[in-house]
Amino acid sequence: MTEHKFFNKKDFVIIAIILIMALALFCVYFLYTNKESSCVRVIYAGEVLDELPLNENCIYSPEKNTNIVIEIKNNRARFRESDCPDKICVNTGWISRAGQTAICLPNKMSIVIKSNKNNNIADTEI
Amino acid sequence: MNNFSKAKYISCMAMLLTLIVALSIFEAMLPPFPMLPPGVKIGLANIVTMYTLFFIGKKQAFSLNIAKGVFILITRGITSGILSLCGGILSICVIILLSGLFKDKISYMLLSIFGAISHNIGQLIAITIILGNKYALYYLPVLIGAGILMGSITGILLKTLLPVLSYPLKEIKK
Repeated sequence: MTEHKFFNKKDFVIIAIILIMALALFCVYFLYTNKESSCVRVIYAGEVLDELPLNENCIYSPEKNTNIVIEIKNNRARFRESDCPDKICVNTGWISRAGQTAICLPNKMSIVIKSNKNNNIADTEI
Repeated sequence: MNNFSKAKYISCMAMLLTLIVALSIFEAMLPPFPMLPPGVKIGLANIVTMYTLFFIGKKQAFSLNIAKGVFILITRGITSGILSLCGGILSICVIILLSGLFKDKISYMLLSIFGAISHNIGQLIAITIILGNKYALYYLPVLIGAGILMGSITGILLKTLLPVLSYPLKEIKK
């Protein structure tokens, strides 16, 4: 490998540009996710397992993996319990805006808030 | 290379791999930082990867990363193993590419930051494929920000640790 300097002053500019791009991307996502959310979709490895209404409080365990407990309360949803080692899904906490997601990667389980409008970016499948 | 220096080389590589594994385990033991978004880690093991890449060689950096991936595959399961490999390989490729393109105009700090960002992007691509939906991609802006922060931290740590780490380097180059 070639020798490099440890730090250039120009680096600040490049870092700032990347940060602004990330912020812009974040704003775009934020604008596309709206507050008119209606239901929670539970997805296992690309397959939609269930759709639960957001306005009814409930505690739900998918049949594919009963170690996972999903809780819906006051129009918000979260992973309440999971048997995965890192607990990233549980630490994500409550999600409520349409388009927001919580993911449990070791169990291939994700929950997504869906909106009742169909023009949402979160509704276009790949 | 005579037998003696070959033995030194092999043991140096083994020590570097041990360092990577020990740092990964240490990092997994740390509690999640309260201020940081879920899933964001410092990536302490990247210090060793970058050190190997910058001062020993590309081939060695790749093989260390694959060895790390296999270790994680055995101990933490297939998902974590694939994630580690995807992130690591993409990050090394990006650093080599940038270093080759800009020669000495690009700094170690920036290479470290780009390495961290591409590590996150590599993992995000793997997550998207494993989950079979694109929702994880919403996390991209957060991960780019985290990459800048953590890349800076590992870059500074590498700079600080370099005097200590340069010992095995002298032994290999003898």
